Amino acid sequence: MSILNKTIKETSELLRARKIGVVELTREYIKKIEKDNENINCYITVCEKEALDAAEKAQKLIDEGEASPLCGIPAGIKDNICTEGIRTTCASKMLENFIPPYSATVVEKLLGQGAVVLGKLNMDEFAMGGSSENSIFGPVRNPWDNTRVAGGSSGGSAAAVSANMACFTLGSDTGGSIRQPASFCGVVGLKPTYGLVSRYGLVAFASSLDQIGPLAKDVTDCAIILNAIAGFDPMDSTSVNKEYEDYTQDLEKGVQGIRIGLPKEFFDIGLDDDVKEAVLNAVRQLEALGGKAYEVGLPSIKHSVPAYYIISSSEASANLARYDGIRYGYRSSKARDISELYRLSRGEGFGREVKRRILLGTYALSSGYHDELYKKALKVRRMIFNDFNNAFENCDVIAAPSYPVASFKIGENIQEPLKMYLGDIYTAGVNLAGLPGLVVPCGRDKNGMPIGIQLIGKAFSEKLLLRVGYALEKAVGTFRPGEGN
Amino acid sequence: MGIDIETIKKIANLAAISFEENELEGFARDFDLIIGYMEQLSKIDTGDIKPMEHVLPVQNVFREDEDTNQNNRDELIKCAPVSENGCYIVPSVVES
Amino acid sequence: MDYEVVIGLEIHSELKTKSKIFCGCKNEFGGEPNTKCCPICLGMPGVLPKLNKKALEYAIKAGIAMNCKISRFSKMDRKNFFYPDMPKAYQISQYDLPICYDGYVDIEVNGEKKRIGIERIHLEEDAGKLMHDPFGQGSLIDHNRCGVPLIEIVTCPDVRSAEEARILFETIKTILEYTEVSDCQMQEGSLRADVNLSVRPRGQKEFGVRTEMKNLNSLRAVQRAAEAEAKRQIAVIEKGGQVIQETRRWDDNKGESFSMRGKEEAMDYRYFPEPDLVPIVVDDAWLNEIKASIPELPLSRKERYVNELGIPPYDAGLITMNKKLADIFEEAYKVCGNPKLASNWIMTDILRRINEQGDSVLDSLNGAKFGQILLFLEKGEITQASAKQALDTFLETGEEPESIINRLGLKVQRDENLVLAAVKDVIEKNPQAIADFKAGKTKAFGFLMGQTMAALKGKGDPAQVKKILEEQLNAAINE
Repeated sequence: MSILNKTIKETSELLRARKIGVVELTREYIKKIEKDNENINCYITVCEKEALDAAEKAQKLIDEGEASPLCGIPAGIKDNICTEGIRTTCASKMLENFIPPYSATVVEKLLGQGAVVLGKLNMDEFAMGGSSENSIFGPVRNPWDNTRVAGGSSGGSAAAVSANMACFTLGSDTGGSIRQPASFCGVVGLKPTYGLVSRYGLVAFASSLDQIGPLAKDVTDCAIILNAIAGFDPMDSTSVNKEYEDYTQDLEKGVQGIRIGLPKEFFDIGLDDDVKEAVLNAVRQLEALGGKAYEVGLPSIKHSVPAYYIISSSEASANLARYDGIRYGYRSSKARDISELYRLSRGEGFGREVKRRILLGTYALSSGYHDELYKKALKVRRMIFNDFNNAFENCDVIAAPSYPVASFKIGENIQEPLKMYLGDIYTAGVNLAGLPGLVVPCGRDKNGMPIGIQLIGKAFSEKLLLRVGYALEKAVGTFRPGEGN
Repeated sequence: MGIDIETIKKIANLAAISFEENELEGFARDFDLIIGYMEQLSKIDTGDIKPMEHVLPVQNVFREDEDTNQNNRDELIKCAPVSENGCYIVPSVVES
Repeated sequence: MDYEVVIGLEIHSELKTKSKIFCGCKNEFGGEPNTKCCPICLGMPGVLPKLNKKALEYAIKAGIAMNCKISRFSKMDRKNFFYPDMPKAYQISQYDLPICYDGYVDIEVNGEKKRIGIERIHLEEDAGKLMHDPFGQGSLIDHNRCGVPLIEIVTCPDVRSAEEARILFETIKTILEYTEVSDCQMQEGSLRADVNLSVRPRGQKEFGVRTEMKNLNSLRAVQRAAEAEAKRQIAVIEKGGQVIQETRRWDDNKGESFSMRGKEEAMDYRYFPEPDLVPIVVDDAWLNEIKASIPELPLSRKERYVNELGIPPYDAGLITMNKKLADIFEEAYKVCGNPKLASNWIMTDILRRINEQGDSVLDSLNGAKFGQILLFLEKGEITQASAKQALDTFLETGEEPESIINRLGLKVQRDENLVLAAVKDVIEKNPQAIADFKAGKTKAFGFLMGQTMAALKGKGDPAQVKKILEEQLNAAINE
């Protein structure tokens, strides 16, 4: 089996056993990227030189015997997470040439562990979208079927793992942007509890919803990465100061007696039969292992999509106001006065979906609509938060689909923004409530495309989620494209 | 309520985004559909539920009053599309 | 018709923290453009703000000093608008839950106390500065001031004249100086006022349409702008016109204001809670700690000086208007034991020095040392002239007063033989004056007195000199 197929844990063991060197390993990945990126289009920027430098340093650490589990492991970073000296574009013309003079806290943490950053990953522009088609660098293609989308907005992050173009990646999730592409590409993806992972250096989309999280080949890897990136950051006021947990511990404890909640609202209507069957089958597997399934109610979840879009777009309208062509980013050359500098730089620099969200948010916050849209959405947010709390009185984890369907064709939905928005029904509520969500592959649809089950937990219950995910993964196996599983 | 081209222009002005005349119609149509859907919010009975700005029960996060930063102007201003002698430049802003 | 002027002030005051409100950049006036900046105050992609605790405490301190209620639960909000020196295109400010609200300050107008309501005080960040590019077509942006902590103090429309507006501004300035939350350097823009003004026929209940004049940066400008604007509005109404609600720019050189119409057109700030910052909760313990750090405020000090120390109200008012001066007075009178002596010296000698050299003279004036000089004077060990000389030297060198007095030999000369010799010498050398004195010209006595003092190099004890001179003159007449 190729080294590129190996998990973090396996690769790390090979590195420590001197079966392969970090530089050699890094070159293997870069070779793979050179070969396949034209097709998959998951990388926007490959930083070969920096990666090889980091590889040499990592090798030294390994030689000195001081290596952490991520030391020497090649990784990809979503292109909305700032990397010092390496351009960070957000897949936007606006930041096409932006080279940040600072790194995100998560990047510092990965580099501190000796991880090797291979490059920056494609995505929907400013993380707005669910298909990674809204990118000035073109759509990401699903490694399972190149005519289909990889999901979004962290489509590049999911595809890179799935196609063995990185051993693991980081993505960001505002309304499902890690979980849905993980499901579409058959990889494991975790959206951590809001506040668990620092947002410093993540280019903000919707500050009260955004979280950075890992995408990996299996649940164990996911836990290893979370160990590295979780934790208090004094640079982020919304980062939670809590005791360190080892997320790799207890993975094998099993699901005996674990109560699994099935929200009836999630399985009623609008769900593809294959997806429904795959998710329910996974639940049956967990039951066979000793878990107990219960029906629970999330009565307000049906309002999660409008509440999510109003809140995220409102925050985005302010977060993206800073792109004015003055201090960084795209600047229109046609502007004759200050007002034109703003309007033209932003009009030319932002893509259609981003403009749509900014306008939606501006509208929702403007006088006359502030109370009936923005404020109302905040109230609905609390109702959804309460719903989850109530549901968790009767269960330990909630099992849900990640998306109404498996991956769809490139171009199929791009002209219908509302239809795309409605797809976030299973994921957006989790962000509104600030909860963790783990997606683990659990089946395939009639087209052979992977389907992932979403496991939702109480705030800061990542350890339990990973444990349940691990049990399921052991039962159903992992999913790799082109391997006929 | 319907979203027309005039409304789009007004919001676009607030958001400082230019639009080509020919994009406006399609944009307004999509936008009308989206707003129409979002407006279901205004019909929800939220009773005496309070708005939820933060999901975290965290308060009073402060930094101490220490000046820790060194001058890093040359590095930072490199990001600017246009600059001159350590200053950022915009078209003349004249007070009317 | 008789009109009544109605004025409210919005005062912006920078807080004198060491660092900016949301990042670790220096909070310091001036310097090369953009050298006190970082990704956070430049609003670069992905960065996050973190609230400076000291800035919040200063805002609370100012609020307590202005008798405000302090919000036990407060938060920061985003105020959205585009302006080139606002890097994020939103200002982090406070909207519906300002940290302080519902307070008042007392001002003195023509010896009468008047109470002005404080509607709210909120915390926010300052913007940068735009400069005209002298060589190019554009404007240059300096972000050094971006993110400097600021409080906005909004008064109730309780002010009824331009003079009252000036006094209110000055009173608030003094409170900010006393509480040491701001250095109030108006020429540096760290304290500035907006004047909201309307007029109405006297007796009418409803307010008239108001205008706003922004960024007035001196006491004089506030008064002049208010006077001119009241006059302008009355003229508009008298001509049958209507005052338009608008923002106006005051030109202090021309002495008139100009409409900034169009600029404010349909401002919709779209406030919403800042998601990057968490709520602020102030408990009793914290509040009491801040309360304990507030010194005695100017008006209360003034009343104490008048009632307990017997200082004339005018003098007490002047001294307490400047905290440094009041602190000097306080220390000096305690050392010399004579408040009136200390206040007299401040009202004459020290105020003259301030007029000649500016406020900076107070920085080198130590109140206790000043008091020691006055104590020598009080005990009659030095003369008035020597005291002045000692003070001059002290301000120049900072030397111990006692050492100055000894080194320069300023102590009063009381050796009777020496004084007698000097008197005799003067009488001998000035026969004409003696003749005049004999002829009953009392003026001559003063001349002789002066001559004797000069002969004693100003160190004679005037009472002793006078006594001996009188004795010797009487003896001379009787001869």
